Amino acid sequence: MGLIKLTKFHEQGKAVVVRFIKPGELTAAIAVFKESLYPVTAEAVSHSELVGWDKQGMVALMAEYPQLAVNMLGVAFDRLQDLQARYLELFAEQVEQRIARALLRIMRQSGRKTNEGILIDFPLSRQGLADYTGTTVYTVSRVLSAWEKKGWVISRRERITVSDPHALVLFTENR
Amino acid sequence: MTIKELLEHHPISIKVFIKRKMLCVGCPTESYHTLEDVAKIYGVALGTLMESLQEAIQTTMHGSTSVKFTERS
Repeated sequence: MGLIKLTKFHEQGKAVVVRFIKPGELTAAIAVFKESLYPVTAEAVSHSELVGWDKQGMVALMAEYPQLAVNMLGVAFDRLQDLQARYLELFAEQVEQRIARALLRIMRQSGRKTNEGILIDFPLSRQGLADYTGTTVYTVSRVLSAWEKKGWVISRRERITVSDPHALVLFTENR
Repeated sequence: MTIKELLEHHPISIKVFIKRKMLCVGCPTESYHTLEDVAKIYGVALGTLMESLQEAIQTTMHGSTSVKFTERS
């Protein structure tokens, strides 16, 4: 029962939540199997009860009941998938922020105020933007389309208007 | 008057924006947006914003010159 919060502290003492452990979930298995410290801080968020095993006991159990090992593998792969998804999300967001920053830089330099927002007053192609940000035309198109739906930009043939610069700025600042 | 011009003529404005947690200082839109735009974006009454700025500017100028913001500037 209960809930445990796992955090990692990095320099400046800022805490990042690694994950929450709910009832029935495994944690710190790596400390058991690899006999190393699990480099994480655990904190009970609500009253929690834990059950633990040592390595020898666990390995012996797994030898006798191999299904335990198979189940453990399943948990490990789930976690891996989780991490991969989060990593990809972070990476994708980084790319989008890079594109946003580039657009804002260009807008600062070559913008013209219109009643739609701030027009980037020279032909800026998808390819140009992709080259400038080290991404692909596909990514730039996808991102601009998404932003257009949100009302952040208006993109016509090679003329992009930043219709909501404030939203774009907030996006680049992770606010 | 754009935010950029405001900040150049009256650097004390920075203090007001920072206090109000507004991102205007160094913003990519500083050459395009006016106080009116900023007020709209942040959902602040333009009058209130102008008052805060006027107060900050007047305090630093020791009342030697009078500064008045109008809706048009």
